Amino acid sequence: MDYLRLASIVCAAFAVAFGALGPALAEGRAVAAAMDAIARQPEAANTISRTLFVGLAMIETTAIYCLVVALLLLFANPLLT
Amino acid sequence: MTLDFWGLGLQAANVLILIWLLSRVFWRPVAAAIVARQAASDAMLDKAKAAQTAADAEMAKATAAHDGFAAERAALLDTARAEAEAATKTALASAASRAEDMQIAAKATIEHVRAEAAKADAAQSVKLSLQIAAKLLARLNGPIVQAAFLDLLVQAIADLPPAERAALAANAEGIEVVMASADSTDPKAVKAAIHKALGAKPELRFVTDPALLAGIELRTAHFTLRNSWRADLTQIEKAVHNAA
Amino acid sequence: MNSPLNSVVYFQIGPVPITQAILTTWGIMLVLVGAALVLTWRLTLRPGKRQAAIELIVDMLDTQIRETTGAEPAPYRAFIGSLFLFILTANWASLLPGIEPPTAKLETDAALALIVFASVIWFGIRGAGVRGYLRSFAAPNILMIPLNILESVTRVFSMFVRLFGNVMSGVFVIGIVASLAGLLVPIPLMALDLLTGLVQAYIFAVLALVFIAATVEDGQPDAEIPLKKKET
Repeated sequence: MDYLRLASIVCAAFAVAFGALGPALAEGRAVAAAMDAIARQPEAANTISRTLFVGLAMIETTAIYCLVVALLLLFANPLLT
Repeated sequence: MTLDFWGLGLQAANVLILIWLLSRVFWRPVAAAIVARQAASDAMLDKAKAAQTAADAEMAKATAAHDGFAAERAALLDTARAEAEAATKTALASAASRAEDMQIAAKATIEHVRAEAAKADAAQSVKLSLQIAAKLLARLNGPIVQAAFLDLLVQAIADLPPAERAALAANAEGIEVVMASADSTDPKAVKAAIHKALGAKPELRFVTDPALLAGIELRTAHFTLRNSWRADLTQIEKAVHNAA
Repeated sequence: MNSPLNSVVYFQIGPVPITQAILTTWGIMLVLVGAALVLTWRLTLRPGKRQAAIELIVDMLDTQIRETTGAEPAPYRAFIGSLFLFILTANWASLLPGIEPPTAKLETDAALALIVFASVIWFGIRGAGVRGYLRSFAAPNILMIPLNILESVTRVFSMFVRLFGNVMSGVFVIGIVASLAGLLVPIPLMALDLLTGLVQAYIFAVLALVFIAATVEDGQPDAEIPLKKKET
């Protein structure tokens, strides 16, 4: 039982850590690309930033999924109940 | 993890109620206000546009009227100008003809005056020349001239028709013998010559008249035998006058 | 530490457990409707400052809807706007001490996601008819039908999880930090939480709008022509 608990905690930590890695890189690229686009076309800044926000939220969702999974592991672990 | 379905349903109901309430209380009135204002401004714009179109039409009408006035005025001006031109032309023509007439009349007058003057001049010059001649002849009054005139008188008496010569000789009252001066001729010689020419011895009265210049004339009540410079000059003057 | 997945039940009305999220939602409803009543008091043709401000809000929303969907904003305005206002207010309710945002609870987010799911169907049928709505699943072609059906569920589920995860994580992190160092330290995190709350409310509303618009658009006439030819 203790091993299960330990494994759950470690896995939750890994889930959040690696789950945050990919979206962080992706968001960086997205923001960089958006900045580039705005620099090229300042008049399209409104459309670009709106699309950027929606896209960032989409990307961030993957990190949120990881967070939810981690929370499930920590607080609603089916193996422990 | 447990999902509380009662709570889920309740929250869904809550949110739906909220959406409904807000749509009734907030979104619809505000949107209606916006639409109302838009409609009001649209109506105002439409009204303004209509007013502008009306004003434009009025303007166009006024412009047309103005153009009409201008055209009328131009036409009036044109006719007035034409009339004035015609009047000027006729006036000019009449003036020209009148001037021509006047010129002709004046020319005629001038011609007439010149002729008159010429005539007067001629008369004057004739008179002057006769006077000069008279003056010159007066100086020639000498015995030789008187003798020549006596001869001429005798000749003239001889040339008279016999009836007249007889009447002259038979003249009871006597014959006036007119001479320019008494001293240049001997009255006895004259008397003899006359008596001889007449073939009778009528009474002779010797009269002196300087106007004769030179010469001897016989005068009776009805008859004059002219034989002097004066008579010649008078004859010349008459002839010149007639010639002019 | 309390699990963020569980809610505190204050009291029961019959079988219905009344949690803190429900109470807060009622409070938010009261505040929003009261504010709306006050703000829309006597709207006139010549706007004052108050009216100009709320008209600016409505105008901004209309512009967003028009730019996103290309359609007239009138049918969607109330739904999208109210959704946005509710989520924003709920997210920012964490500013008040002792109050947890209702959106940090599973039930509220699941309810919002369900409402969006239902609204997609509702607006799809209203905009394109039942046939048009069903046809929207066949866009771009018939092979996509299973994927489209799956997507219509998963996209709503992802909205649910996204909103829940973002708000809950913010509250959770602030709770942890506050339990470690209570003074001043949570303030930057709370500021970030405000931004996250605004962005999430915006994204939730925009995504709902995009889903609705996509469904209405896919059900529109250009796909209808070949069908009609077959019928005649």
